[in-house]
Amino acid sequence: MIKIEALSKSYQDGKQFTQVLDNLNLNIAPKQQIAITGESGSGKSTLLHLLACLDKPDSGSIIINGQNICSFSPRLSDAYRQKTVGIVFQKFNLIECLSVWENICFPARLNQNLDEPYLLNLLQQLGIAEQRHKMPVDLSGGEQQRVAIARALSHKPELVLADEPTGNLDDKNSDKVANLLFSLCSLHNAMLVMVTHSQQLAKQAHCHYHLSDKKLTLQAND
Amino acid sequence: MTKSILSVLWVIVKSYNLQKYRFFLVLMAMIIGCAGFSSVLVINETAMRSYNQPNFPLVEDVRYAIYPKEGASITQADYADLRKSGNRNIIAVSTLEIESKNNKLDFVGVDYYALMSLDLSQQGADSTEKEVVLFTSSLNSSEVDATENKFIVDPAYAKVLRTQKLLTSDNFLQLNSQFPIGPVSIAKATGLGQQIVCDIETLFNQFTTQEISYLVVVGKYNDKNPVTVQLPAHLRLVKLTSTEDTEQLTASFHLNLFAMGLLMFVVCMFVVLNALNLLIIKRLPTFKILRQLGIPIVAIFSASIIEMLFLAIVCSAMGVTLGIEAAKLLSPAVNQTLESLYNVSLGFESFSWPSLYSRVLLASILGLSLAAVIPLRSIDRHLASIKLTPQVVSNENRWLAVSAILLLVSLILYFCYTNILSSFVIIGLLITSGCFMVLFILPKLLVLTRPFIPSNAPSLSWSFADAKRVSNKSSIALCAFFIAVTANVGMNLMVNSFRVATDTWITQRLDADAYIYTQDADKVSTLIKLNFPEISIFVRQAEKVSYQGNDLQIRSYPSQLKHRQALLLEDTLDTSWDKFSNGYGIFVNQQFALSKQLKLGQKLEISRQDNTQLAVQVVGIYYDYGNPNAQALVSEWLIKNPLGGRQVMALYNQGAHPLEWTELKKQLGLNMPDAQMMETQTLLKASMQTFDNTFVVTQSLNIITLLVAAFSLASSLIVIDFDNKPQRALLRAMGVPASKVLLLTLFQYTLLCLFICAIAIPFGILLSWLLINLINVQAFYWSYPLVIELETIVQLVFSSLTVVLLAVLLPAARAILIPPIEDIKWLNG
Repeated sequence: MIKIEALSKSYQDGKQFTQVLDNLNLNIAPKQQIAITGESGSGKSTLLHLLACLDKPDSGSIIINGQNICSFSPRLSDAYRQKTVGIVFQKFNLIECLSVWENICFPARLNQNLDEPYLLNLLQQLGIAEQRHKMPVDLSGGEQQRVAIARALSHKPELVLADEPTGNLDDKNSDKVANLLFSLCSLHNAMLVMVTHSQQLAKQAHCHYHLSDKKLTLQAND
Repeated sequence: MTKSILSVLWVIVKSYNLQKYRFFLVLMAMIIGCAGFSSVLVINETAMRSYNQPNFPLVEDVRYAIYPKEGASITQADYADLRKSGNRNIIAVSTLEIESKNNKLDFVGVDYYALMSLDLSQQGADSTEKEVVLFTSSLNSSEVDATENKFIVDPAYAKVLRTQKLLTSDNFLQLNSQFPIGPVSIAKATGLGQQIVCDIETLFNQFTTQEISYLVVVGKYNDKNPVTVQLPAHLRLVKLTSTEDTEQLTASFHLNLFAMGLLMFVVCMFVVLNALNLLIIKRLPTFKILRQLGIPIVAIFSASIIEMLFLAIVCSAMGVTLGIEAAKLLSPAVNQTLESLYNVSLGFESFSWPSLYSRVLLASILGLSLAAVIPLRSIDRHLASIKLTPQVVSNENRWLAVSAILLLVSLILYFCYTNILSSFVIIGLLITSGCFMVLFILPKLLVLTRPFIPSNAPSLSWSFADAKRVSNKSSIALCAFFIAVTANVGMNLMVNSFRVATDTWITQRLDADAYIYTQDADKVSTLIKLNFPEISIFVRQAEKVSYQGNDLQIRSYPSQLKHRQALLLEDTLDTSWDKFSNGYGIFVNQQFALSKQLKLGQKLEISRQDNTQLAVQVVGIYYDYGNPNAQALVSEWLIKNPLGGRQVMALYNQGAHPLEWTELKKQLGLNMPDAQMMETQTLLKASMQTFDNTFVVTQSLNIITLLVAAFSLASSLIVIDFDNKPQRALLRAMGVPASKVLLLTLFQYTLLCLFICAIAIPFGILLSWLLINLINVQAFYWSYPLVIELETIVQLVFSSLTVVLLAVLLPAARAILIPPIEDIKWLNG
């Protein structure tokens, strides 16, 4: 269960002050999958980074499993990211000196819960099993994105945060990967918070929120 | 935590595979930085030891030798006669050079039995006595038994002989096809260099030679107790050009070596810092991803430190090995210089490897600590993005502020503290301030000059703009290069100024036509007055006195017009020469004036040895370069207790025919063998030769420093050039030919180097001024005018540019060979 209360975040760039999130509230139930849409620069990625404990809010709290992650010390933040969260970055953020397989195994190895059959199956489902010995630089953008998804799921985290997970895929592959992401999260009882521009993808989530004017609005799924 | 550290280490090791070229360059830069520092330390150590080294094997204080005159030789009968007439401190020496297996071996045959039976009471020298006792006791010991082991070799040289397969494992010399010679005792003995020392009789028996090369006079020379040698006409007594003659320059030389060592330490530290910085910066995005995946910063920091420590340990070891080899390669040139200066031959192997390694490792560790701390701090900023924090524009102004603060601190120090330590701190602050000034001014210079590029040359404009980006990325290397160029300009200008000052001073000071050095000035005077009336003589008398409890030497000086003109004065009173002639005024040398803070017009009470006082006024301060002692010039009649011993006589030609000078030389050779006559031109040439030889070593150290710094900059530029591929690909995609891209790249580097040199030149001039007016004054109590030679500066700039461009040419040229499609692919990727 995630409980976001009165969350505010602003940035200062030189003399320019920008309020990105203002007094934002949100509850995410266990196993729930939510999608957040919004215009570019509306603060979707910022919210995701706050949920990943990569950044700290100006005020407010994010309660996960009864703990306010906003008050975590750097050590606890590290442990939280290592164990609890799996992140799919917009720019993939793969470790370029490691092969596809090594990238995917990395979080699992850190958590000492490497499950090779599970990971092989995951790769097959994502259609990148053949590429596992390649280096990230040798993959196309779409393939790199799928590796990033696999890496985020490799250690079976409680919470998966995905920033535009299908942004680099064609329509056909986009649907396939999105379905896989939803189903894998369901399979592992993981919560999913996905940021996307795609209305179609957002509609597949349990809940669809729209971020606009620093506030979240629940959208009705058709 | 261990798991996290190991994971990071694993990623680091994996990253080597992906950045082989960069990793190789970084390693090379570190190894070359360490090698440069080691070779400077080795040459330094060898050079410093050289003037402390006795100039003859087995005994110290050999300051005189007896040589045969031209066409003559020393016979065994001459030697026997000399010893029989009571000269028990004369020892025969025979030298022989033998070539074996393409190596030259120097054999020195010494009369062991004469050495062991030295009459110590005749010598009056404590150190010699001690050394001779040490030698004789070691000869009689089981380790070196003269009767059985007649050959002695220094342990360091023995190692060399073994590697050349000239010395067998059972310590026998294996020369060509001859029977083995030996056994050889490997022992440390005073003055033992790269020679094989043996008894003279053994040398005669072993080889065909029967010739005595020269005789050495053992014993410390003392003016009051001169060497009493009655020589036959075909032999001459020669004062060896060892310590006394060169000690005037060695203090300055020593300081130069010390400064070069310090400088190389800093440059090595910067090279290591730069190399590791290049390695770490490339990894920062990966480290950020690791942080995003939950790896603690401490784990990343620890893993980086472990890696860098490992690299420092390995690279220092490789660098030291390479540095020693480089020093050995340079050793013939350096050895030749040292041999010509000090009559010593030194091995480049006899230094402590652990001590050398620890010093190089210390510099590397300092560099790596900075390298680790500076970039890793940025990992924790903006964790959400793997992009590195962009350069904040106001940083450049911050560099200016830091530079100004450092300059201010150095100025405060300059006015508040005046000792040798604070002087070095001032120089350190100045150079650091210069580094920050480079960081501030270089981007500004690039921006300011860009508008001058014509609008129809867009690629040139790109080159300027890109140079700014390159300068940001290679700031540490640029600083190292700046330090090297500044130091080179500073050192070269200082040495040049010293040379010009010495040359002017000697030329003006040596106003006579010739000089005679003799023990018996009266006899020489009589000879000249009787036979050569057209040659006038002036004997400069000296007296030992004291001022405020410190030793002072007063010397007589004539006051005729031409002698007045010959004295190079720093400052003088209007009526100085009148007061001087009347005995009321004295001229003091700069060293005396600075050490006692004497002012013009100040009254001095000088104490004589007979407890009387001499009251005089300081009427002038004269330059007296190279003289480490306090000295004052007085009128001739003020000298009361002239010092005995060897005296200098100045000879002036009053119309004598050149043949008369030749005749005088001949007569002196026949009647007074100890008298040495030297024409002024020969003396001048010899003095300047000694000067130039002394600074040859510092010049080579200068070149090493510049080479290392230039290589560091070049490696940095190559790595950056590698990262510049997407930019180049963009240009090539737009149709700029590869050859033009290469030219633009080289133009960029030339521009950067020129700008660095432009900033370094004023700092170098300032450094030179500080070295002359601060360090020299603190260390030796003398200074001289700064001479700025444009030619020296242009040469330096040109050589720096050449080194950098040569180093980057090959990698940059590779760009031409790569088909354009490769670069385009890179761009698309």
